Amino acid sequence: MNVSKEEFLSAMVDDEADAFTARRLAAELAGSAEERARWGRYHVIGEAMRGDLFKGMPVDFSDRVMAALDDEEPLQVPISAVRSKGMRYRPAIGIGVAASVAVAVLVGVQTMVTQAPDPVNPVVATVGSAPEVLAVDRLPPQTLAQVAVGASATEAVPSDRRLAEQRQMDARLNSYIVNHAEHASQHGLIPYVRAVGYEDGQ
Amino acid sequence: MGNKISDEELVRRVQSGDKAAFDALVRKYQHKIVNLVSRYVREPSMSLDVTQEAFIKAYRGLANFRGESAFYTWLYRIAINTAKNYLVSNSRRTPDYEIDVQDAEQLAGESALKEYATPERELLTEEIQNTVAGAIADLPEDLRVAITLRELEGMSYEEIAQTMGCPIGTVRSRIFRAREAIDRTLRPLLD
Repeated sequence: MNVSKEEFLSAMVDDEADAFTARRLAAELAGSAEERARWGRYHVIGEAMRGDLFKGMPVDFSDRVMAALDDEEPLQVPISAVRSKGMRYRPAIGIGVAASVAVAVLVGVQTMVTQAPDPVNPVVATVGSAPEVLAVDRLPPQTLAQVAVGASATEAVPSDRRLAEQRQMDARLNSYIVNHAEHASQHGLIPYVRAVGYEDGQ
Repeated sequence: MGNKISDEELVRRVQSGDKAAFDALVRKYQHKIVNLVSRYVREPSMSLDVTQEAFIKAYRGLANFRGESAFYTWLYRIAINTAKNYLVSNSRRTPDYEIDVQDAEQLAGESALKEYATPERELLTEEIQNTVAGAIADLPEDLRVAITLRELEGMSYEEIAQTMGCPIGTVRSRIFRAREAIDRTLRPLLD
């Protein structure tokens, strides 16, 4: 079923038009005195129903106001200066996110440096063992103890856990970098910085 | 009154140089603002002048309006300040009570000064009121209920749809058809 322009205008009176329709209708209203008159009458109907009509209000009051504004220059407010409520906080949010990412990267790098494998006593761990270790990592403590004893690898488990932690950290760092890159490109924050994720062995 | 995609869009157009969009905002808020002003300024003709001045100030102020508050809240604040300035410049006391801007919308409809109108305008206002009431009485029940729930109870379309047990699109259509039917009888009085 086709919904007429007037029906949408009626919905806009009730603020029930979506943003796109409201934008289109605002343009219609601005461009048509007839539509503005209809818009005005729709509002008068509501005021009349609520008993809020001001007795003594000239029917051409808005014409008088607009005539008084005849000599006023049309406004030219830069678009960047007109922000909706949500928009106003975007730069602050962006800076906050960027700062958080920077802190996270610093902390991550520091942790990686302190947890780097000991070159004197390198820990040998196969890549294939990593998924098992990750699974172990999520087990409750007593189960973990059983697994450690059962594997008779009191040395190997911490080493594997360290590897798993490092992998998790790498993955987290990667996601931070990707998120940061996406955010920066959306909001003009260092838009052309290329972020490179990395994986094991690359 | 929630805020107001329609206001935001109209404000945006005014700010980008489209003066006519401001006319739509005046038409929307003129009764509310003059009712509000008339709580401060007792003479009805002066209330109208102060209201006009408030709208002119609002137009000029839109150059600096950043949407930090809803347009109507901002407009009401301008109207109250304009009324107070008028009283000060005329060395009259401002009212003993303060009108909170948040409550201004509610208070705007409770003007104590409606009786101060000129006879001709008062007659026209009464005629408009009676015409609207008569047109509503003639509406089919579904249209009458829909527009009453909207205008008197302030329900959203969704709430009306739930109350009437019909889709939102039907509510929108019923309210529109009700307005159109009323408008047909009202138009000769206002044009």
